[in-house]
Amino acid sequence: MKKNPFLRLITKKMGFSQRQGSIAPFELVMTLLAIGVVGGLYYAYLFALIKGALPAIRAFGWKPLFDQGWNPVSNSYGAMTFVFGTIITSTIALLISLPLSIAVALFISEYVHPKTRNWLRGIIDMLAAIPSVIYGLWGIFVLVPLMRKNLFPLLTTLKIARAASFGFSLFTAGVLLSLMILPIQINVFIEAFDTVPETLIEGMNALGATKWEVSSKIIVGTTKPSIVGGSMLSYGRALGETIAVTMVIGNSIRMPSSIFDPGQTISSLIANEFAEASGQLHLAMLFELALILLFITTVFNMLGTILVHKLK
Amino acid sequence: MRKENINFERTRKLNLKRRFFMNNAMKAIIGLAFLTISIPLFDIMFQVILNGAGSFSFSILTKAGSNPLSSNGGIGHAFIGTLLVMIIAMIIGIPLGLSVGIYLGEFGDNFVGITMRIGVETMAAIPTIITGVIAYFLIVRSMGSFSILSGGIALAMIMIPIIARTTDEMIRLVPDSIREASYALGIDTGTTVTSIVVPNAGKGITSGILLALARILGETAPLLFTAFFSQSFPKGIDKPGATLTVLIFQYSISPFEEWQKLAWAAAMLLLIINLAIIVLVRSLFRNSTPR
Repeated sequence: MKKNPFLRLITKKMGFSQRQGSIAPFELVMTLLAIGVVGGLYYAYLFALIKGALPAIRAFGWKPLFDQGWNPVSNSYGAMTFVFGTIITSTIALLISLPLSIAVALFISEYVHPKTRNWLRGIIDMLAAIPSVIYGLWGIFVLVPLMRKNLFPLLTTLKIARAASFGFSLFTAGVLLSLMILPIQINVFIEAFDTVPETLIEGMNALGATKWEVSSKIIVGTTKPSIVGGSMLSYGRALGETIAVTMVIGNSIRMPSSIFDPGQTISSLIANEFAEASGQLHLAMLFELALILLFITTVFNMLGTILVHKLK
Repeated sequence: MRKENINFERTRKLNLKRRFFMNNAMKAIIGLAFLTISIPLFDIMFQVILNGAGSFSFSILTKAGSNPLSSNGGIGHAFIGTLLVMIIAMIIGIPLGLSVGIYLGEFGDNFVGITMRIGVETMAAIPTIITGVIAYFLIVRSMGSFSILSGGIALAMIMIPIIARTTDEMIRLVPDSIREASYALGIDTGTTVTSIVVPNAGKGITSGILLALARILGETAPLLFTAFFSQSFPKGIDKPGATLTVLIFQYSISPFEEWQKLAWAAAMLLLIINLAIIVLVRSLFRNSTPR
């Protein structure tokens, strides 16, 4: 009975994979090692962030998130500007990238020849691998001048918005972020589109539907949870993106009056002020903001992961 | 009766026209969307290669940073710094990441494993600047100064969940029949896993490690408050040192043209190494590449 493969499979499912039905020393060692590593990492993240933030939480609680006015010298910490900046830049990025990435994912998965398709997917993977500091470099020397010379004067003359003259703005950061999250979205969407059953598509074709009708009603229609999930994953990524944003957002701690003004996000504030934090409370406040950022991005990522994997 | 029929015919024809028009219009729009995203994304690579090649020479790899107004500065110190940080991250990150991944893939079908998998999954998505903040609090503070070592540890913390995740996936792809054959020969669990299951998933695991290396090679945020920056060659792993990514960041936001040129050269170097890894992984392990 000990050699019964079914019994072994069952005991393996319960977590005991040894032949005799007890835990093998090897499994025990691996379990403890893995628990040690993952638990240690988790402990490090939560312990360090909470301990670091404790002085600020004691002094101000969570009120700074809804206050304005950031001045570490006079110990006044209002972080609403940065929370606002984080949400605005990521939302701009999502609004720009979402329609484009759905269209491109459809293009790659439905409209091109399978051979070309592999090539295009390879290119998308390469784009996903470009370091964010290189996106930032391109942002400073190409995107910012483009905004300064072309788009912002146009906006001002058309009286749509009173744009600042530098080209560094929340909007610029949003555009740059949209480029950075495009490859993530495209990859998730293509993988979701591939799971659509061929029979549904053939059935639709047999009814005389056009390619667009099949794409919009069947392919996009049946993968909505994945599209929402992929958007959440990329939104989480955009919220936490640091370097590229820091390079083009203008790093102004004043509340922006429009999206064409310079601003600051939570992560770019940490990047700018952390190494030169002036006092214990200032540092603790930055830890508190990091804790908030961790919480928000983790929520978006978990929701996104759940939605994306539901279909698989 | 007759009139109704004609009307029906007309509306049917109009409807077809509308549908065909819609189909063609959307085809054009989808094509246009592809062009729209291609332009900026190719421009990034184009600009990096163009500007980088203009200011790159092998002599800058042997020189350290210098006065921004003279033109004899280099990026050699940052190149060495990046190598050191990567080696430290690899020494710590690869074994730990692998052991978590092997546990998850081989023994992780129980409550502990599933909880741990969710933990790894969420950790892989933590913004890297937070990892930098953590490494600062735990290591830089207790050591008393910024150091290359702390930068390496921060990168290892990013690497562990990525490697664990891909290793887990790859080990799951190994068919159960191989494990059963091994057990049937009387081989114990430890030997089965280390010398039969893991080598079988070897290609996928290797490419996962390479992709993780490409990923941490491009990280800047976790190094800002750990390895920090310096203008000279690293004097030891307990001292602050420059890395390529931080150098690109610092030099590109500086107002000096010489430094900006060096930033482009460093960006080209970084991009070429990075893309070389990706292309290598994709061509060597076409069928077993983790996503």
